[in-house]
Amino acid sequence: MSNEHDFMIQLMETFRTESRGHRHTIISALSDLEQGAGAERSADLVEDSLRAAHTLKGAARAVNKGQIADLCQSLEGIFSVMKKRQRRPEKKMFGPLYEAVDLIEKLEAGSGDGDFELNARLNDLRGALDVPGKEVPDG
Amino acid sequence: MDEHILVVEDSPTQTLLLTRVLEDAGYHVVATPDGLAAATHMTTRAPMLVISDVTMPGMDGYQLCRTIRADKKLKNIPVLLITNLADEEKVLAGLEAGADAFISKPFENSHLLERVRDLLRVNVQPETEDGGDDYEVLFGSRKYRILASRSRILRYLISTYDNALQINARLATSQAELQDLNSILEEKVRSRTAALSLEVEQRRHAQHLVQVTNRFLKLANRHSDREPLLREFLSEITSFCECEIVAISPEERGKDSSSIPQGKSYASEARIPIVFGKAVFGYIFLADSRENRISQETEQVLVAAATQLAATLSRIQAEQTLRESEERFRHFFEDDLAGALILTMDGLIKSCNPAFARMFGFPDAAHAVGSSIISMYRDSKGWNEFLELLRRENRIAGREAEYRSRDGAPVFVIESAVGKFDDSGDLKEVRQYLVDITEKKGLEHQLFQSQKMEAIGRLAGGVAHDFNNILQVIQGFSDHLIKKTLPEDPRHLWMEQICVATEKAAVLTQSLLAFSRKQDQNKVVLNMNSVMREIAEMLRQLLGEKVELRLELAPGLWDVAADRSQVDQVLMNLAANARDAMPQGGTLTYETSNLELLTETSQPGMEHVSPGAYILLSVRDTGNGMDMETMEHMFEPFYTTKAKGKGTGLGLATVYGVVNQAGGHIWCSSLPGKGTEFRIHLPRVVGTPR
Repeated sequence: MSNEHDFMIQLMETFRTESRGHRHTIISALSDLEQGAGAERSADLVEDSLRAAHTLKGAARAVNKGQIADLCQSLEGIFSVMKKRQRRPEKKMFGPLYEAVDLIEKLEAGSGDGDFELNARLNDLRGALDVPGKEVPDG
Repeated sequence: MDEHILVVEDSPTQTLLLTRVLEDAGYHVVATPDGLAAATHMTTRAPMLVISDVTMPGMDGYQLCRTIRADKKLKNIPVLLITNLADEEKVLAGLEAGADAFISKPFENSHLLERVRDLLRVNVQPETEDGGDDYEVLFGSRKYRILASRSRILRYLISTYDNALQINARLATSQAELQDLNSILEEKVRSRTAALSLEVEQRRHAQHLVQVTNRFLKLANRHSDREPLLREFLSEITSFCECEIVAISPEERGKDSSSIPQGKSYASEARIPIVFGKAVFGYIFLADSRENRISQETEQVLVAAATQLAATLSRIQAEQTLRESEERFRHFFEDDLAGALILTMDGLIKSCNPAFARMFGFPDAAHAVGSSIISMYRDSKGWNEFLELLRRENRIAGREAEYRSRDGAPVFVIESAVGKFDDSGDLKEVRQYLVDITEKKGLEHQLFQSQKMEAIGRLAGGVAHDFNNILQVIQGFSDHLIKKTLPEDPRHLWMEQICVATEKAAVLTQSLLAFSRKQDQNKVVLNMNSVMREIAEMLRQLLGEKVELRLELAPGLWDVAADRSQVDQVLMNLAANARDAMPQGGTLTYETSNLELLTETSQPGMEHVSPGAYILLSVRDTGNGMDMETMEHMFEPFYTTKAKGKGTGLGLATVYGVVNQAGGHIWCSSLPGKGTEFRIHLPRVVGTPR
């Protein structure tokens, strides 16, 4: 690490590569869920997404991408509720989720602004999912 | 011992950052992406410290921690857990797993390094106690079994406390940041408010424009002409906008709009066509030398206004066309041509048009409705005859008929009628159309009269001429006989009687000749005012004491050309007739005036007077007046209403002849009991009176 600047460039590149991976994990999981994956597979997909969102949140925070971290926080919240309640999102719920991942991509590249409204919608989504149902113990 | 720190972190970004921080502080770092990789690494190389993330795929941080604690070779290696959230469960789970300390993300690098240093210092003095104590901790709904030495628990608690301090510090920092953010937000709100007030201003501007436009459009509804409307619109807009506004007049429509404002360049401008459908009424050119002076809203409003304006203009155009065609229609059916009416079988007017009302002297059509047509027939049997004819013929076409208007005046019409019959053939209703020919009848009558007078004049003139020749023979031989007869001779007296009678006959003959315009004339330039003044005394003697003579002579009266003795004769004859019409006395007025007739007129008595300059002599009395019958014949020679032997029947005939010979016209109006007026027009001559 010759100097700070080079390190920052390396760090950001690392972050973008990592982020792309997590986004890919979440997007393909959402896609499979949307196409109606089986119950066991669904649980795995939710678990994968949850971890991806969680890890990306930490990475984003580490590189001062607070807006990405916030989105990841929202996504993580949703996935953790899905995991806890063993729920799958309804069709209409996928929109905001994809939207959040798209926005993360934009924020990654440095273009675009945070979207309070989207965060609010995601939190509403989480609220909608977080209702007592076929509840199973955590973990 | 291998002097390195093992970093276990599944996020490459965080691994990179962590590695960088530790390496900058002089540590040697080995990084593994998950617990399993770390455990594998440690089978060959034992690190001096393990820094591990908690959430990881496969083996997570707790499991790694337990694995280390379970391994005799590794159990003294301190473990620092990095958690995302510092919640109580995780704190206890970490302690249970055997971690030495934990730090929550995000952390300050210095804090991390401090923790690292502390843990490495501990590691220098390895724990002597084996195993350690066994605690059960109940937290929340869960029981935690803690198998750690008291010193580790203490370290862990210190790290917890430290972490809390750190979090607290972070909290304070975020609070400060929040305050900063808040003030930035306030600033943003202020600037947004300012921007908003500008927007509000622009909106108000636009609203005002809309109001102006609406007011104008209301105005437009009352306009019938497009040009002033367009001008007014633009002046309304101009008075309101700071911008310069140019409109293309309709004459220039079709031309390229860019060709209109010439010689100037503007920083901001907008061209708005006033177009409706295919009709282009003009353009609004909005321009300002300053930049950004035409707001989008102003432009939008103007576009809307222009569209509405164009619609209004084209509506006005259409209305105008319609109005014109309606007017033509109304004229055709209502105004002049024919009276139309619907009658019940009782002869009551069910409905009629204004022309009918006018023909029969009603103020309007509504007043005529309900009146009976029966009383309007000249003959009381007229209605029944009309119905009989209609029943027989089914329709009546172009029949000439005479009615009486409300004031009794004759109304001559050509009438057509159709009947409405019911199924059994009974007449139910009559529709009648009347063309007023009263005026035509009047003109016909006048023509007839003047033709009649002409014929009588010719006849009388011829007779009088021949008679005059015979009279002269009688007169000559009578004179001769008187001279040859001695005065003592009783035949002398007889001769004288013959001569007197011959004289009288000669006077009559002269009058006849005057009427027939065959009398010799001695025309001179006369001023009727002078004539009136000279003859007034003679007229007074003629009129007697009971009748007052009034002269109303207009100053500056024009001259006329006439035979003076004939004029005197006319004035005397009219006076004599007036006197006889006023046996109880009254007033006879001679009024003169100038009259310049520019065009032909249909005023009563003026129909045959061609345009030109005239003097008008009006002679009116307050006497008995005349009936229609008398009026028709009054100018005929030998027509008289006077007792036998009282009049010659040549007075008015002479007046008529003289006026005609002077190139003038005479007209009379009279009603029984209302007096009589003669109006004599004599053409003006330019010359000096002798």
